[in-house]
Amino acid sequence: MTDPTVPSPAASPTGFWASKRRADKITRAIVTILLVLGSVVMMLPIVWMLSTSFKTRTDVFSIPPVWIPSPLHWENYPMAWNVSGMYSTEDWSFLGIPFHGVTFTTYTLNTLTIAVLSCLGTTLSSSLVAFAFARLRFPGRGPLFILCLATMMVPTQVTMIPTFILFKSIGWYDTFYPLIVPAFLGGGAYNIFLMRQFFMSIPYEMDEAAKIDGCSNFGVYWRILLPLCKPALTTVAVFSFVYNWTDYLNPLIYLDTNSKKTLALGLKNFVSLYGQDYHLLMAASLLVSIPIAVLFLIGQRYFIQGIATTGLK
Amino acid sequence: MKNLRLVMVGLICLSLPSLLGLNGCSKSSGTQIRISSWGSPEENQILSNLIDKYNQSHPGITVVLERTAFEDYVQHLLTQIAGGEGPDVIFVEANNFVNFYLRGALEPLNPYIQADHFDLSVYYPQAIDRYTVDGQTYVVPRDIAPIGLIFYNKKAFDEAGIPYPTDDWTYEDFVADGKKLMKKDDKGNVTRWGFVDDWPNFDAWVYDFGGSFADDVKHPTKWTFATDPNTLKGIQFRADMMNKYKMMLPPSGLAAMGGMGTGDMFTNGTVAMFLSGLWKTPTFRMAKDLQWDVVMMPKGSDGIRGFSSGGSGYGILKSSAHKKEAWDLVKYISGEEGAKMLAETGLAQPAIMSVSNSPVFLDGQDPKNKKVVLEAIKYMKYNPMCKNWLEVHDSIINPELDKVWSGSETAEEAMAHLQPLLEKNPPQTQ
Amino acid sequence: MTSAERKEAISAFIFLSPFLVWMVFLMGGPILAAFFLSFCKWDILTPIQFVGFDNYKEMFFQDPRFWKSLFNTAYFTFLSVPIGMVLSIAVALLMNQKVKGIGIYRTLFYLPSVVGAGVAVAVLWKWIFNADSGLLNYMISLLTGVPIADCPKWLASEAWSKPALVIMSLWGVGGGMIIYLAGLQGIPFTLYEAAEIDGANRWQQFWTVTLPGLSPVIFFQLIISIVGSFQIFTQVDVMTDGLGGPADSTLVMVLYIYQKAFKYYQMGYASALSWVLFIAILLATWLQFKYSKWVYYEGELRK
Repeated sequence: MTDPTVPSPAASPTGFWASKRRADKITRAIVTILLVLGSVVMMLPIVWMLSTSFKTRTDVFSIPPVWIPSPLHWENYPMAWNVSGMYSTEDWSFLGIPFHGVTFTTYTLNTLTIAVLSCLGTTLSSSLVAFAFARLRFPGRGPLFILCLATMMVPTQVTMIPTFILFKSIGWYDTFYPLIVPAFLGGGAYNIFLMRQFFMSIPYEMDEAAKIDGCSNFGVYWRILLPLCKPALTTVAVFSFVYNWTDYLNPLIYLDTNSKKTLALGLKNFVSLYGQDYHLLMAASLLVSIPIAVLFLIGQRYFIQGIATTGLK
Repeated sequence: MKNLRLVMVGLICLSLPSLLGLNGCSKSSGTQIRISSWGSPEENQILSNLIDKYNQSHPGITVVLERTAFEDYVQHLLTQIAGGEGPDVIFVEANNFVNFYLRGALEPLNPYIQADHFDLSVYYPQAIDRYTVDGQTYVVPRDIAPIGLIFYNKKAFDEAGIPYPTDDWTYEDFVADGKKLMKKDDKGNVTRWGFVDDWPNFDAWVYDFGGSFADDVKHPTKWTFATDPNTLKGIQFRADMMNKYKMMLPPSGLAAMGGMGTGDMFTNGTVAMFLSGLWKTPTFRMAKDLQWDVVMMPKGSDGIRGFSSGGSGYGILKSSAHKKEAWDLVKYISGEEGAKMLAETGLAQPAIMSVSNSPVFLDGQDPKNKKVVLEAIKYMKYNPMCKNWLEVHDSIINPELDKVWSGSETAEEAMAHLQPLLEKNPPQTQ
Repeated sequence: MTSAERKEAISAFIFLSPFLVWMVFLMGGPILAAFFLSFCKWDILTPIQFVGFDNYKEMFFQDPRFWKSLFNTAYFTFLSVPIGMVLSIAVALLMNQKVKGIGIYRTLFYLPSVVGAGVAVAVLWKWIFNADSGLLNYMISLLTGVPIADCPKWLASEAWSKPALVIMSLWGVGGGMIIYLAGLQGIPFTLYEAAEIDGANRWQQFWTVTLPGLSPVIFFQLIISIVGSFQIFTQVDVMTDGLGGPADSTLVMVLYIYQKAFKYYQMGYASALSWVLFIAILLATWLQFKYSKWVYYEGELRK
């Protein structure tokens, strides 16, 4: 590690573009400019949402568009949070929560339950299944994998009703099970495929060495490959969490009781036949997205802790 | 890594109560009646207030309201019905009623009406008529909605120096006003349009010009859309407003393709006249500095006029296991109490005539000319009742007419293209 | 089969068991049901009628909207997938740099892919693409000097409505970015060191080390993007109010399937459409697997 042109793996994961020190300054300047410019473009929708969320109903469409409304209508946020309460009179007081009616607090707890458990299930089970596809020899592996991928290719619009009937017939209608259990059963073709690709980019010699040391197949999976695939696991975890946090269609179909509904369904309360309360919709959408932003901000650090820190050299 | 683990453990702990089924469920006892609805928060407030009252006065019966956003309503309902989980009472709209009725999903109500001596004559006959086929009634109406109102901005008329329109105005008056109401800045950019509709509502102009879609509303046998000369006139007129008179916002200028947001253009004064139904009232009442009123759509010099129609009501699904209780609920929620609450919001014209003619509805607030809707009822036209109405309207007629609006085809050319397509897809009533 | 091989196969099936349960019961049942429905007429409210190949015959010989939707879907896919791929790799490389506050940039780039496609921001998109007062035409006019009146009419134009959807889809590059970012971490430094010693410059390193190392992930992303864009639905539904206009220019397959199933009550026909779409995607995926020699697996399982 004496060569100054190669960054120390523990400190810096940069490979491409970051070698010569002389060029570093210029490179970094260019990178920063690109990042700032890109961020501005990418954030446009969100900035607009933010701006709208502070407006009154009638100011939403003023022309020319106003980016910084004055005054800022902070009250939209509590209003958005509580507005859904008007649809129900169900009582949460037994939990010590001092309000009646279903608000976004209820929806948040429900969504959290579903998203956390699904995230856990998906991460564990998709990596397990992917390990079998990537590392183990068994008859019918190729066809089975193609079959797995094929499940992504049938549009949900036509499998929805049969699936609904299936879950209903086993008594899972209006429960969280249809939203959580599938995550523990492989977590879907997308995640399996993703994990398989990552496993397959790890040298096979790692497994062989471990097996010589007496590791079982599960041992190879748990002790060797999983730690090496932290960035991939993080990716799957993030995607799965976000998917379940924002999923609209499945909760719409399987959840009926208002107190069991999720945030995505709650958001739709603002949308109605007679026009939309855009300012409230934006306020609620942003509130709902904050947890994702925070989780991502915490989680993104783990993207860069791959092979670099596990000492594979 | 420790942080992450802590976060995970915390999240799981938080989620446990919900998982263990500790939901704030109100334990249902006795018979449960489920009712499906969409609607704005105001509407739902009315319905859930009514249901609360009903639940209190009917021990042994629990009514549960399930609300789905309008755009997902049908999908959600169909999935439930297919899975044998259909609700007992459904809220239907004048057009999607047909889909349920024609497929035999709605319980005929005549036996219940006769047994209870339920008085249908308090409702607008035009509303009852929509939900009655061959003498059998399927839905009790909640509201009635002629879509034939031109909302106008008084300030814009004052600025243009023209008098406010009256209910007996003609197409010529309308176009003349529309042109005068146009406003441009120094660079030639339009800052105020003469007219726009709530959504690309060509039906309104077809009916207003005395045109038609099919030969019969209740039992259509063939489409007349492409052959009716009045239909052609209506379509050409709507196209001319954009491309010839240049008084109407063309599709390329719409904030939205489906027209969502044009109401907001009226609110902020970038459009002087706006075609819609009465449901816009609460929105426009809330707008600051907007002085507005309504007037009927213009008529032809021969006096012909006609309005497309909305409206909604409550029906009972045939699959319901508690039809008697469901009927009792329908009677209650479509009664006078609910109608008055609806009238107070300004959102809709109740289907009960006495309420619509009372000060509860004609409350003297904006729009001052609200009584015009009582008159407008006479000119209501309903869409043909067949299974493929929506498909023919949205997927055959509509894409072809897009070319007329953009000016790449005349109405006549479009009709020539449409006729063979319409012949190939005749109205399906079976 | 030797006993070692048998042991390996048995443990493989143990690992796969949850997946097999899912596959057979939760996925297999409904998919077979949809297959059966494609030979039926079913309006959901009345009993199912078996009609043989009628749906398929109608689709191929009498339904111009089917061909139109197939064309629109392919158009969208061929335009959006390559642009999206290149852009998300570029963004991932950018996000792999050691710059102050990189975590925040990553979040900023990722968030729009979460909130940027939903109903909430559809209004904004409609405004951006508005021909007369929209932001996009304003920028184009500013940069090129073309008067706004001559700029594309985007969502109101039959020719430009699909490109508009492609542009909109680019706000979702954040998802691809994450995957590539994770993929970049898996490329061993030893390879860069070796390339450095061989005197490769950064550009050469990119082609000889980064791209091959990333190829399993690129392959994944390529397949997933194609599957995803063949199934594009939400954005079109929201942007065109479910109509696929103007003049059917944005009518994509899944939108058509949705219309047929839940708007026009033709579940059988919708199922038949789905199977054609399924075959199309399967074919595209199979071709990619067939020509996937360019994918370099460090740990490929020898058979």
